[in-house]
Amino acid sequence: MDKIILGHNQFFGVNHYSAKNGLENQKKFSDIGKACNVIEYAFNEGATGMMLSTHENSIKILDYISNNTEMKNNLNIHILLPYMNKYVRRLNQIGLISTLNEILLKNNKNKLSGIFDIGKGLITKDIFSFLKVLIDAELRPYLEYNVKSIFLHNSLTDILSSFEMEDIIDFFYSYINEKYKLSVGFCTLNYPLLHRSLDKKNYDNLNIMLPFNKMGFQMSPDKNLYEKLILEKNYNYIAMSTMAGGKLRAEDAFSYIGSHQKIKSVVMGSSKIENIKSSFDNIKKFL
Amino acid sequence: MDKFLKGGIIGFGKMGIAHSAILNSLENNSVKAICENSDFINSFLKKSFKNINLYKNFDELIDKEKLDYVFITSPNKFHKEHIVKSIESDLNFFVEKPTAMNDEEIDEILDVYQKHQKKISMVGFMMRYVNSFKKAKHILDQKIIGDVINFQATMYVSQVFKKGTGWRYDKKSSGGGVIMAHSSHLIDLLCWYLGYPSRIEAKCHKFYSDEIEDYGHIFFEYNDNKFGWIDCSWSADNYRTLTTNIKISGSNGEIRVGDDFLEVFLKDSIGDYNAGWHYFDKIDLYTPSAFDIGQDGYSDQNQDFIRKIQSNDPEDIKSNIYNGCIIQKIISKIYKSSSQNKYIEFNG
Repeated sequence: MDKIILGHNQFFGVNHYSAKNGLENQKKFSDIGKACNVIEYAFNEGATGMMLSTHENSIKILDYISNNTEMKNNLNIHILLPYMNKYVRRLNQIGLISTLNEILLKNNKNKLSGIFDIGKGLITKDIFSFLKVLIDAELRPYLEYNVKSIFLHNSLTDILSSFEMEDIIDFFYSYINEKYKLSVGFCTLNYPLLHRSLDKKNYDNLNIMLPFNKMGFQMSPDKNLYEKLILEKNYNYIAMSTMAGGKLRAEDAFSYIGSHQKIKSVVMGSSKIENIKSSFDNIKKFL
Repeated sequence: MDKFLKGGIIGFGKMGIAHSAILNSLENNSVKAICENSDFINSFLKKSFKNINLYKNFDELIDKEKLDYVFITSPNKFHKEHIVKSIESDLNFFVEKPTAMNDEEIDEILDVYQKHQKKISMVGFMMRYVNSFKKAKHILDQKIIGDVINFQATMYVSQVFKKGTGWRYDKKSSGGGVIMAHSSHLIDLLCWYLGYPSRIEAKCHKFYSDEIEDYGHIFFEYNDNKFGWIDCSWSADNYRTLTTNIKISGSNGEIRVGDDFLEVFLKDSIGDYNAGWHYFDKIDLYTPSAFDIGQDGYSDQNQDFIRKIQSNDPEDIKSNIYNGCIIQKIISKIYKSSSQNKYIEFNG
């Protein structure tokens, strides 16, 4: 897994610390060229990976990356699946069943045999066939790019963990691995629960993206538990929220991360070119 | 050690899923039964939830299961029926907001509630559990900004830009638009902070929807001469998520509070607070939750509900069914004021 992965939230107006700052970024990066400048700068400063959710604007970013031969070949793309807000909005607008019907209707009807009836909507009793269609639909636009791994969004990961739905976790891992030949990851805001769900599994090369920072921000229910549990497994841990929304100085943030040797990767979103260099320098120094 | 609690979920849509995931992660607690009438969702649940019993009918669930509580997350039009059955079955219950559809339903709920043993009840006004709003409550209660004079509050989200489909946009199933769906949270917060208003005036407007309001502007007056307004819409551009802002002015300064910040300005020092500006962002106010669902408030709310059952303390829940009924009565008055184009008196 890449040591430095550029995050994507800032480009889509997502800011989990401040909605106001998120809106400012949305305005700033409505000119996609400005996002591309940040990406190119980050690439030149040492980012070898980029995380992108399946947000509608991701394709514009990927097209830009593809126009730069260096980045096209050397910047690894990691897809976070799906862009949840898109579905939450549709759930609010039309409800759960209609949202699922709508996603399926957009897809090749030949693939929906036994799952979907145009007149009746969802008819399947085979959840895995249904999930395959959903995953295929979400991933299809991204497959022509330099995609290296697929991560399941934390909302879904954490619901699966809470319900101990290990058969679906297994399914996701196997399907991505076998059909797409890509590395698999889970993003989580509740790593202790996911850890429990994965405890008896023997997944190879599994990526776990989790909040990890000196302040314990977003490390529910307990920072100490995170620090202890990561020692038990050999997953590829990718730390997020490393600077606790800018509360930590880069040196403090990454010296802490570096003191946990199981963490070898950091995903970091930055909207400002001037912040990237010092952050990346400290990541390189401590990790 | 706390008693192990078994819960049931009534309605497994978006909110049913979210609450179940939180509840299942809490210690000494587990979801044991789900009542859902969609065949598709049930066929999925049957294969995936091996330790959870499934029902299509709430009566059957009550008959067959020995539960400590139920979470009512069905569409609004079923809330009254499910609340009444829960009360009559002596079940502790949580109901998502809004409490019910109209005053008639509220009166029926209150009538049944008064005749039965008082179990733990909670209405899902989760914004009381968001750290910024919780701290604002503490500051107001301590009279740090002095006596409240007035307030301005807004709540916006980019959600409805064409006629919606599904039960949320059908007045017979939802009871109303943005005020029922979202601003009931804000109305509850303001009542929690400032008490119930005594006079209400409102204007509701629709633009994208046929039957329900997309916009609301509400004016509250109080017996002690406080006053303030709420402006809300689910058809506002550039609000990716539901965004709330409240400004409350007092004799010693003001509070500005939103989903992820709190600002306090004081004219004179009081207690630990010096004169001038105080600023707290989301990270300053952060406390870990038992389960982080990605949106503040829900996990702490559910944890509080479970703890109150374990300690069997019905009086300690402030967002209980009684408060939920009053909030619903206020919403009815808002709709009445708008349709009759006049001030409405409210006596709680």
